[in-house]
Amino acid sequence: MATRALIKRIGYPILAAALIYFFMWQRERPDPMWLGRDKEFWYETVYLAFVLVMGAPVLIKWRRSRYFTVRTISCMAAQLLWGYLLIYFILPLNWRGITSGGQLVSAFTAFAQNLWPLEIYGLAIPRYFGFVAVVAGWFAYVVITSLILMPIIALRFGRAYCSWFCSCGNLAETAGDPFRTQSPKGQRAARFEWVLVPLVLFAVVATVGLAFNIGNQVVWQKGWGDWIKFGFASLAGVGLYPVLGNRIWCRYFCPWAGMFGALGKLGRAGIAANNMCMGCGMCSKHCDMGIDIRRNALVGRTTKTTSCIYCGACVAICPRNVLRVI
Amino acid sequence: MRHVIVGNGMAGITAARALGRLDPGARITIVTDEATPFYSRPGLMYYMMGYLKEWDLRIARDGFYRELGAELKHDTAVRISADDDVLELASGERLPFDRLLIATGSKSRRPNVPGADLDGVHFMYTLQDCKRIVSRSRRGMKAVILGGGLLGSELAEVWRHLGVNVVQLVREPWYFPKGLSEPQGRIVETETRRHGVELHLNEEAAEFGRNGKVSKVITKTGKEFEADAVGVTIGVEPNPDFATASGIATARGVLVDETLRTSRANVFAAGDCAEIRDGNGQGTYIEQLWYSAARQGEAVARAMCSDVRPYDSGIFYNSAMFFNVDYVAIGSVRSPGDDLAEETVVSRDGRAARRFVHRSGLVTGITSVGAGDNAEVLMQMVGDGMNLELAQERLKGRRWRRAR
Repeated sequence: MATRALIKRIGYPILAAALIYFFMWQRERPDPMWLGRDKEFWYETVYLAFVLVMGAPVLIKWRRSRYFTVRTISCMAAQLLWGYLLIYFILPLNWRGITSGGQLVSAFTAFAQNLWPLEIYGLAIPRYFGFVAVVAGWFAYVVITSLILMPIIALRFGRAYCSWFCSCGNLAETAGDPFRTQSPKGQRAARFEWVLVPLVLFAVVATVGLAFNIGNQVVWQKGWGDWIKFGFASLAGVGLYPVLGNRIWCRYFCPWAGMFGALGKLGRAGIAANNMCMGCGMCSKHCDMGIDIRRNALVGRTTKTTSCIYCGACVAICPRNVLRVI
Repeated sequence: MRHVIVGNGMAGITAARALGRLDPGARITIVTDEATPFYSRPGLMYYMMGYLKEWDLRIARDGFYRELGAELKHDTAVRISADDDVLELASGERLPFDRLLIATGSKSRRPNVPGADLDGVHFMYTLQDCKRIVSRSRRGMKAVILGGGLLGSELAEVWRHLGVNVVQLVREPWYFPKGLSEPQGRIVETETRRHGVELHLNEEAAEFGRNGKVSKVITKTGKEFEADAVGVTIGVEPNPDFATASGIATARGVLVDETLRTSRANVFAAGDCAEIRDGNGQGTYIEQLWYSAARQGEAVARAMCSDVRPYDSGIFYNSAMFFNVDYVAIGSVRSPGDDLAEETVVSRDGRAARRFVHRSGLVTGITSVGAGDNAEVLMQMVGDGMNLELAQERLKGRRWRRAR
């Protein structure tokens, strides 16, 4: 309890303040530098620090569940290796050198981890830089991961990516863990998930618009970068942790989730239940996606939804070991 | 057909669900006098500890009854009219039926001690009971729990969580002998004490002291414990009041035959309230578990649709937590009869123990405490009647290697 309170009362406010500070800083022109590094670097550094520091109490709290422990370690490792060391230290690229600053910087730093359509610049970069070797490499990487690899993974594991590797998820599963019970529950909250459909459509249209220079470029860039990513993912996503839970962005606004959640539902992944449920409701309460798992578990039905991210909280919290990730 | 179900618990709801499947087009009415729609009693503990809100307990939400195809009526069932098949409700309404199910559950057993009705003496059964316990709990106050079963342990955990100083009085020589062997009981006792509960074995309340409300508990050995509140968790007993009022044969519970039919041909009973005659006409038995309620609800729905088959209680199963120690019981757990033998294997660190009940080397029951065992695996072993040595070998992990 003490560690939870510590995250909630002290850790989270610092995090929120830091993120807002960085976002404001990010919007300054020209790009401010600090200790020879640009704002993106420092933003990612703070982000990583929060994932690692706040991941520790999460590991302690959920230590009884092996799945949860392994997954949390995966979150921390993914953020460290994939989201930080790789893009700043392992790959010998001078990021500022090949970008013109501004909007596209965030696209490059995030490529390693964020997939189309979460990051729509991925498929549009050749237009900006031509097929320079480096850019072509990234373009190929985005195409292979986003359009080939991820659909295959989603078919087997559903949206497990969201809770194992995704950078939004890494923060949500560490700094956001004490807030998971806050997620909106019930049928009306679930119906609101349909808002993903127009968002996915917008992502597709914006990508095409950017890649082929169609339509008003400012709308695509600003619409995506400022309104959706900054507004929904960061301000609403992280800022509303204490009010609406740690997965508000992931559940309602993330276009990647919208596409691959549906794919995952077609596959075999789900939360299986044996016939020993007694309906206490701890699973549904702790679901950060607001899924009513109990309703299925009570009658021994496997829970299959588009929104489940296989975080394993329901499995770990169940006092009767009824549930299983399949 | 018109089905009326008296009682809105697990047995009644399961029966309603099965009836909807077996008898499409049936009219199902559920009558309950509880204000809350179907909620989870096993979850009440988490409600009391503040992990769940009242809404979270509710299993019935988002069109639950519509999906069930049943109508919920908040009213008190008074009796079944003696002359025709009509259920009389407290509001004066008369509800005709073709088949009626009594699933009135159980009620808390009351101690045979003077002062049991005093203010401050709590029972733990309904949501209302639990609300009262929480609203009367203050950090640092003194509470005495009578009884050391699953419920007693839950109440102790809740009260400790709320910062209450808890004394627990257990009549038996070790914790929960109905379900645990002595070494297992000791593990639970250690765990209970580790959580700050002052546990006394071989102690039973003889009298409650009073000054307007309960003020202390005096045991049969003459010890006195100050108490701002007393929690009574000495078990539950069937609630046959409605059946008795309707002129249906009752004993401890509502008497039913193997097909769960009461003394009146189109009236059935299932769940905690049913006292079932076993197949060979020997005695009766009562099952008062969440799981058995579900099983009986399923069976009684078949019987109500005239698919008459004897109820098969299956392999006994129960599970719970004593604080952080898990408990799983499969198959025969009660003190073994003449041809049953048992042995308890304790882990190397002394924090887990499994009891194997066997008939000439073939496993008929496993009770596991603190081992984190998978109930389905144990269920398989008991179901197959696995060889004792083989079962023990299979369950051995690193911490069990030099056990015994």
